[in-house]
Amino acid sequence: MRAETHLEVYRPFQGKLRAHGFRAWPLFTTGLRTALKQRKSLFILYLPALVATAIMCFVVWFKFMGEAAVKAERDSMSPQEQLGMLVYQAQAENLIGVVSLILNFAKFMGGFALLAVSWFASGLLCEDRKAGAHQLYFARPITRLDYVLGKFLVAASFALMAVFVPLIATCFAATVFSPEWSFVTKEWDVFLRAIGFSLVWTVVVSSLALAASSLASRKSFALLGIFGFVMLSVPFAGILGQFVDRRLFSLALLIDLDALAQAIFGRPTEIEGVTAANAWGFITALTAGCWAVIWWRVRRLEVVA
Amino acid sequence: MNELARAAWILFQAHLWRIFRTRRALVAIGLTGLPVVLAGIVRLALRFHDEELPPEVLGTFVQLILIQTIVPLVSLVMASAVVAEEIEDRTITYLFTRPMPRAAILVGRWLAAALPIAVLLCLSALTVVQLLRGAEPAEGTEPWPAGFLARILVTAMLGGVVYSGLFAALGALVKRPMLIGLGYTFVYEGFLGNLPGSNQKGTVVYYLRSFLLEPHPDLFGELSQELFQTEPMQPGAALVRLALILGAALVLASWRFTRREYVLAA
Amino acid sequence: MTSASVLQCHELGRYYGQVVGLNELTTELPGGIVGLVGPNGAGKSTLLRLIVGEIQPSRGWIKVLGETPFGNRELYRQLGFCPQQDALYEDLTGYEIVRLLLRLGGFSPRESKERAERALERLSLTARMHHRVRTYSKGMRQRVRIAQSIAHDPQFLVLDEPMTGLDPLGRREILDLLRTQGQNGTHVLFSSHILYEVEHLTAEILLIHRGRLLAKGRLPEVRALLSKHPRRVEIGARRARELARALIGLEEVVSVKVGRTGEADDRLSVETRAVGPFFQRLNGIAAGERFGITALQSADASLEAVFDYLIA
Repeated sequence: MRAETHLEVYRPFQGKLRAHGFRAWPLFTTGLRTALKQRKSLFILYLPALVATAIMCFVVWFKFMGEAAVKAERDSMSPQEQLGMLVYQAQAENLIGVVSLILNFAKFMGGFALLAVSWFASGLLCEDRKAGAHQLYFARPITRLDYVLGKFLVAASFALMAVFVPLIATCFAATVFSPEWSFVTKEWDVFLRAIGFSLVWTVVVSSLALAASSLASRKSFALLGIFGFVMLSVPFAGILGQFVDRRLFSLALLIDLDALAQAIFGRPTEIEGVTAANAWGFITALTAGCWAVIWWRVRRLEVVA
Repeated sequence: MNELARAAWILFQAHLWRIFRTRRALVAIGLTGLPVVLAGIVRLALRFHDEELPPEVLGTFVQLILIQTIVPLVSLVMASAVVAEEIEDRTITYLFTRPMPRAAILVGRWLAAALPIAVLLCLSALTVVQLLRGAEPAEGTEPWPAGFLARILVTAMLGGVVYSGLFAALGALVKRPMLIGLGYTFVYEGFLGNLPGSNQKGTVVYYLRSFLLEPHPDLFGELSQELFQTEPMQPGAALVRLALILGAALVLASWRFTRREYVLAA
Repeated sequence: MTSASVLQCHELGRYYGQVVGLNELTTELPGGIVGLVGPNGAGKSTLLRLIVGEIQPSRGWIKVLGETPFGNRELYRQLGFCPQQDALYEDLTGYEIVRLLLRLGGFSPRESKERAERALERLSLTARMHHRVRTYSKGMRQRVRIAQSIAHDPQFLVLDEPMTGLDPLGRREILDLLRTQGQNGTHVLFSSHILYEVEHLTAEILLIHRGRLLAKGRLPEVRALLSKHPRRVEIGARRARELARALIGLEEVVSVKVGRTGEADDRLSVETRAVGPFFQRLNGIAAGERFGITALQSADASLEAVFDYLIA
């Protein structure tokens, strides 16, 4: 065989090697890029979310354009004052109605976020372990915290895309469609509440997905664990709540989603016995438990190949 | 047919004990233990609060937790891998190059999974029933009818066998049987199967519930009425339907498995 | 095509989507021991999988021992296959695996036991045959795979890279085993990257590249067909330059290169189109005058050289 060289193809590295300031960032960007290659799954899971958001924006528009039946309560007012009062009341009722719509939409998208994050994040840790990729990661100068943070950010991205983006889009639609931008002048706190709910729920579902992924040996088992936990907690909490103590309804994650959304949007909880404090307590305990599991499992990754 | 039975029997014997050494078996054992743990917690909690054990508790456990969730999940975990595992591990080459019908691989390995599934579910159901049978059924009715509690065990085992056949067939037909099986269990059976109307008749859980409850539809109080949005079927007819579902799944999967080629990764 | 052929392919093609595994392969193998060689990705494994009926052709046809292999249960009684992939039932022992596969092949429990023990003994695995496969080394795992392929005494043995993972001693044992199989009348087709070992075992080769058949037949005959590559003969001689002058005049000689080795003799690299007549003339020249010939070697008659000439 004739000997050949192709030095023109390989250029020697001229730069300087430096550690990235935030070492989880490259892990996050690579993980996200890899996950986004699952185009079919993205389409199947996020297209309904997109459609739901569009429908929601339309409903919000319709709410503002529709007529509200309002009764004038003050007979002593002049016709002009009464008219002003009518308009004011109609606007107020519309705004409250829109906030309720956004609240219900938040609950719906919270449930959807659980589905989406479970799909995209359930393989983040277990597939690494299965492929032996964790050995490559820990042969680099990154800490366990960097590794977990990078993975967490990937999971959180999908949760934010499922909750934060639709909610903010709806809030902006409400702003644009409301007369004289009354939504942003009178209900500006809804933006903050939507962001708050999105962030809290993102942390919860991402932690749950990562914990399941750290425990399972493959993605399908992690999915099984997540769905099993969510679905089984409902009848279990139902039995305990109905026959033992109503506060125990809070053991169901989906019931806590409802209570959390109500609490963050400043509304009372709908299920008797389930208070915001209970829901917060269970959610916090669940998230803390998930992180304890993740930490324990990631520590073992370094020791056991 | 003789060759099929012979080869299936050999594979059944070879894999029956192997299955308990797999990680899937651990997951399945964990899943079957879960209702027992939950039942124990409920029993303790009710006793701590000095409450009676109403029949709805057993009803909820049997219908929502055991039959609707645990039975399909355990079957999915164990049975979806009967063919998929051989393909993933690339050991199917050895079986394909033996002078035996290909369908024997599916049948033999399914049997080796179905038997442990049935046993595990029976033990789980038995323990749950013993923990939660305490109180009388709905007021004004007889105590637990003769044989009813045994019927619960049979229903659980029957569900395990039918679901395992279904998921074994899925494993032979599609690439990701576990994920599709999860979608089937939680979306199709869990959601669509509880919608009002005749939708329920397209699910396996409807026939299992019919077999269990048709003779005594009011046994679990209001819960049974809420779950059954359409008339339950006669138990005999439900059994026939379940057998047809199982048979059709296995025959279709065997037919496809025999003709399909599997390109194994290097 | 004759019915006595072990393998017959006509316009055989196999595609994996856009990727061509095999393309228009037409050949016939009469039997004996044949080495299947080719670079990575040439299509060797694809051909072997088509032979054992693991996959079906995309076009053309293939017959093994006169039968179409895909789903042909009766053919598998005559066929033994050792796959390339390192895949076994990890929690079973080597003995259990071989015995299970024999039972599935229709043998009685007693006969399966005897055959399994015999096969594992031939592969020097008797001492470890009752240990779980997950405790085996790579070479032992390879032996189990070979054992299951020969345990039922097949008429046609197909092995995909049987020497992988074996140490030199192990490879020699396998070569001896395959040679014995061939002598006992079993047809053997095996693929390998270790060309000198293929050459050591058989002169019959099947060379494929990029899914196409490049060469087939006995190695010397294939070499002789490569007329655009004259044969190269290396000669070591103390009076190399005088010898070179004598040889350059011969009509069989294409070129002569003189190379200094720095030792007592120099090397001549002679290219010739007719190696037989050249050696006769060289004998005559060497007998007539003392050139001090110390070494004589045919540099490119090997399978490796043929491989390089054909692939490059």
